[in-house]
Amino acid sequence: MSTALENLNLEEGKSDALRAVFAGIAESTSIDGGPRYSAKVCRELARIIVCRSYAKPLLELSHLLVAASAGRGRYEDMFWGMPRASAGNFRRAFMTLDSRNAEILISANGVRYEDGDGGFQISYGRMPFLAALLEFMVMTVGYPEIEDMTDTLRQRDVGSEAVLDAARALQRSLYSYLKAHLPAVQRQRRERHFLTYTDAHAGNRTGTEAINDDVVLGYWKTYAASDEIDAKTFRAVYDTARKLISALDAAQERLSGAYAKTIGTDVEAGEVDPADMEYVIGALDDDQGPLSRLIEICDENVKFVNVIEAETLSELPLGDATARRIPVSVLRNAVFGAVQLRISTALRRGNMPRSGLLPVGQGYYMERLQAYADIIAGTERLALAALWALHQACRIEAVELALALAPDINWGHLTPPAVEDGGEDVVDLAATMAARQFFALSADAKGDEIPALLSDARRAWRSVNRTGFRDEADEETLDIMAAGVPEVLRLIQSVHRIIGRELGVVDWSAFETSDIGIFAAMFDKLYDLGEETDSHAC
Amino acid sequence: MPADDPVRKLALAALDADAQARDLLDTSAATVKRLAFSALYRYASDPSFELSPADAQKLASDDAAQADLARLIAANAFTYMPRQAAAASGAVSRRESGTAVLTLTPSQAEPGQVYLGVEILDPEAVPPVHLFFRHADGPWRRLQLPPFSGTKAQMLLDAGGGTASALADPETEVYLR
Repeated sequence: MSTALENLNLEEGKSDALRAVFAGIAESTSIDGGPRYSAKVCRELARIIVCRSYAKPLLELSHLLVAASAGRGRYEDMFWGMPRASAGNFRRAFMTLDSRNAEILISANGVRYEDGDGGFQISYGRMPFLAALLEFMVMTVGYPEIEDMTDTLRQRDVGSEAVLDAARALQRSLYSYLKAHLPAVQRQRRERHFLTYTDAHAGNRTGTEAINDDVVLGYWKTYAASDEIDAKTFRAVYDTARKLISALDAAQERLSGAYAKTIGTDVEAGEVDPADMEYVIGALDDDQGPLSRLIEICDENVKFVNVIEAETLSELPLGDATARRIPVSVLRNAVFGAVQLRISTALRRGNMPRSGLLPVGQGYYMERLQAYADIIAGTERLALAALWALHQACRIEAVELALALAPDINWGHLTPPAVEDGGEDVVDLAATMAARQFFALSADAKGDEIPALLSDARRAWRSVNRTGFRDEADEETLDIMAAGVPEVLRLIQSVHRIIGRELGVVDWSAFETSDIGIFAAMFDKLYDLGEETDSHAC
Repeated sequence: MPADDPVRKLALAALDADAQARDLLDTSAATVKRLAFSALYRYASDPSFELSPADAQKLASDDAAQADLARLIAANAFTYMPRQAAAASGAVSRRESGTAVLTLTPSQAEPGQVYLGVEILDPEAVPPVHLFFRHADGPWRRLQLPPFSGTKAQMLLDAGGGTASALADPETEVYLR
């Protein structure tokens, strides 16, 4: 036992240096004071390190170092001289780079390295992550060592073999560092315990299908008061089920696909391919859905959703199959998970109220659904308002927004007659002309469909009083608003799908009748609430 | 679903790794937080950038960051003035390289103070903005130089202060950058 404990302590101590590096990167600040790297970039970095799937990113980084050194033979200012690591800043830096290397082709989409051997393309959107990876390499392996390993990449003529050699050297150095500093992964007991229970209660269902609302509630009722596992809160059990649903779905999808296996992985011997693992973790990350991405993009600058709205919408599993698999648990978590949180918080503070904790009467699930619908109707109104601002600024994102907000409008007359055998160029030209016509239109409530839509958008803009939706919207605000358009549209679509197709088909009145008693009895058992909940249980 | 089902194994392995990744990113659990290299780069390159006292302390006590900084300073340095030969003894009042001369001259008007003079030999060269120095194996320290007038810049230092004492010590190495 003591040996196991010592090993655990050694393993924990092993990661201290690594943790200190991640903390340094995650808390590094940009010149204007915000974070230098987005949370998404930091998560992606941690993911490739833990999965040890860094070979391809290091090859990408090696190519990027060649491109970034194409000016004066130094890459540092490109990576660390810019205010913050963003796609826009990398685009600006490369577009103004006086490249002395003819093999580096710089375009509006990214940088292409033509080495006569197929070439290598890196988009500007990928560069912030690669910058974080370089900073990680420097902070772990050491700047002098990285300088030496990448020396050839800064020369005027770099062959693809030299790039490959540098990438391999970087891989070897990182491998050695992680061998000393990355501890073995700890097995997560909670998920395994839940799956074992699921197996026993799944009947003939398998895979993700085995996890259903009965299993989630049954598991919580069985283990909430048990010392065997920490499952006291319904929310924790729901979160475990949700994570498992996402992971199992992603694993199923990955393994059923025809992906090339990483060389050296002995699948027959039960080894898990790091690339597969990274794919599944990536899916878990994406499962945070459009709401978190919208907040990340718009931050405090453009309030498509405010804090209270975001808190409410975050109850919905927007980016995964949870609402389809365990729809009742979604609202049980939203309603009773919140009640349980209030109870435990009140008990911790020693001021437990004797009434008003549980929802009263019928309709509490339906009220919750209505709350989501009301919020998203407001978000749609803000999207309409954004259409006005983006149209006035002739931003191309206005087109995407207009098409999504008014799909039934006949947009055909903006498109010029088709030209036969014109190829892609003609399509591009037609799209450009259509966009130009769209931006030339004015708002007119009594006009055709598109001018009428613009009139609605103008009215929405004038009626809104939120950060980012005021007349003084500057270029930076418009940039952020435009960047948020795809996510706000996904958010609207996701919420409609969940409250309509997935939660909307459940007979909530039946659950409202039974659930109040079940949860009241459980809370009484867990917290000894006495009379107040007993009355509900009857 | 059997325990050796590949989908189940992959999903659980990914959840384990995900937990480890989240744990590594939990900055509240980090007992030590290293100074990011991007901050080090700004410190070496941007005269208007000052490290916070906490970050300066981090840098002073981090050997790896000191090694990184040494290499950063050396890259693109205007000139390097190494430690004096072992035979050298006593205070150093003049250091020379192929491109610059550094002098320490006691002030006649202000006893207890000393003039640090920096002269660059190429009048066409872009003058340095920083002087980095390190005594023996101590941490690197940065001194911002005043604007050059022609090829010369001069500033007054406290003769008994750490900067003047270090620059007068033959064991100190200097970079102009």
